[in-house]
Amino acid sequence: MAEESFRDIGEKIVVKVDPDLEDLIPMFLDNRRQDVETLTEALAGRDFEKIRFVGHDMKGSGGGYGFQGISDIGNRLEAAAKNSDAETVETCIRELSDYLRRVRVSAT
Amino acid sequence: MKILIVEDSDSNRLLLERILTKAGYTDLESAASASEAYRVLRLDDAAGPATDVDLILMDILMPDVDGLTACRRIKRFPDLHDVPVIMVTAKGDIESLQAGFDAGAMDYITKPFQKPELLARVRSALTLKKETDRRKARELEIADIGARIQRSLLRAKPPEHLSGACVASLSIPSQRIDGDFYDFFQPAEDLLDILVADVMGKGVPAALLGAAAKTRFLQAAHRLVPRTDDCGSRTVVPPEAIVGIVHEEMTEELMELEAFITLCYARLDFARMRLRLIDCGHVRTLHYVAAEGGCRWIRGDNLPLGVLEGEALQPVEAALGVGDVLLFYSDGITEAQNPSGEFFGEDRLQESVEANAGCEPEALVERVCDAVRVFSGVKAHSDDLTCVAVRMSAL
Repeated sequence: MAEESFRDIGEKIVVKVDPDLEDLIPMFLDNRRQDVETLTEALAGRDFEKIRFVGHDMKGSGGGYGFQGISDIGNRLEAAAKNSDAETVETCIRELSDYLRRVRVSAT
Repeated sequence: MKILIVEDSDSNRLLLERILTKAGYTDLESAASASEAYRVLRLDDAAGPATDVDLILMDILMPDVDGLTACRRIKRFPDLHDVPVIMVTAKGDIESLQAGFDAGAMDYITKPFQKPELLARVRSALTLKKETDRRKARELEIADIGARIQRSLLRAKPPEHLSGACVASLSIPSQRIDGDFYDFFQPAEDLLDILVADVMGKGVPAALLGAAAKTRFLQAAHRLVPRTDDCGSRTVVPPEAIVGIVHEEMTEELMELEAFITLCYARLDFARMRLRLIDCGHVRTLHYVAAEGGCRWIRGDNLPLGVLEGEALQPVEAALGVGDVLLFYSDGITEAQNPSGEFFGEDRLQESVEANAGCEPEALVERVCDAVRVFSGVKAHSDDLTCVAVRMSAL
């Protein structure tokens, strides 16, 4: 799908997305922001099954929209949840939140 | 062509819909779970499943019913068996990939999707589906040709208003096409020739061979019209000569085609009340003798057509009485099987004829075929049921 380029503009991560998908991106990213909340709540409740599910979904969809970074975080979340590794889950949530704050979309 | 997307992740479903739509696949239907897909495909519909879907993209990992279970269930429907299923799986999940192929999937794509890969796989699956549909349509067309050959060329109407006998025939076609045929000729007022034959093999080739053989018999029978000499005595060509001509014409061809035809050519002489029969490897003919109240079996010992060239054909003869019944049939009758694999056989056939010997031939053939159907307990037979009954009356 779209090439992801980590050209830092200050703190920004610029991701080039497929023009065919451009109008879907805001909703996709909003849903990932929702995931941050869901994950935080799930971690507080030690609901690793929920974390695994969200991680799996992120892993499978992120790269398709052009956000390979989201797939990578999802992959690590899924693995950490399988091991009930709260520490790594916490790191991943922080990384996801950070990624979402910095990411900017540019249509090619 | 219509694509069904079965994917529980909203993000991925949306993504697939978008990529496919932009690529020109506008006939899409989406389901967020296996049970929703079942509804789209109308799997629980008594009228049968929907047949308008040409490709299914099926996520493997879904809550409740997973994609493998769904794929297996869908593939069990004969109407859906040829609908290609592409499994959607997480990268590196080799185990579920194998399970996907075992469940009947034809291909897979990994998540996250790469657009060119996704589109290439969708394209090739749809090409395959198109080819399969075309092939199936052709097979149906061929089956229809075969069925039409069978109906129009291989069957014949028994002569009505005969003085000396009453004749009826019944043919119940099976799902499969074969080369059984029968025909009637009347060389003279007081003679009736009955031909019942069975071409080895099934399908259109057998039906064509049957049609060819039947034509040869018709030609031979017409060529051999009775001649009356100056003194007024009539010479009728005997049945062995008619069979002999066809035998001579066809045996070499049949041997080349590695096919053979069993047949029974019977001549009924109403004036002399005699039967003269050429049996070439056919099932035995049943003769109900009214005076004895029981049956006899008539069999000749000639080889089927297509086995040996230049064979001298031997006729068998029998005396006929008023009220006698002759039953000619194909092996579909005696070889009909019941669910435990038992054959209907000659004994049951004899019982059925003896029990109904007093009936008109039309009712008799119906009852014989009914007995076979009740015995085998199935609606559709693997073989055609063909039988011809003759009941002798006074001239």
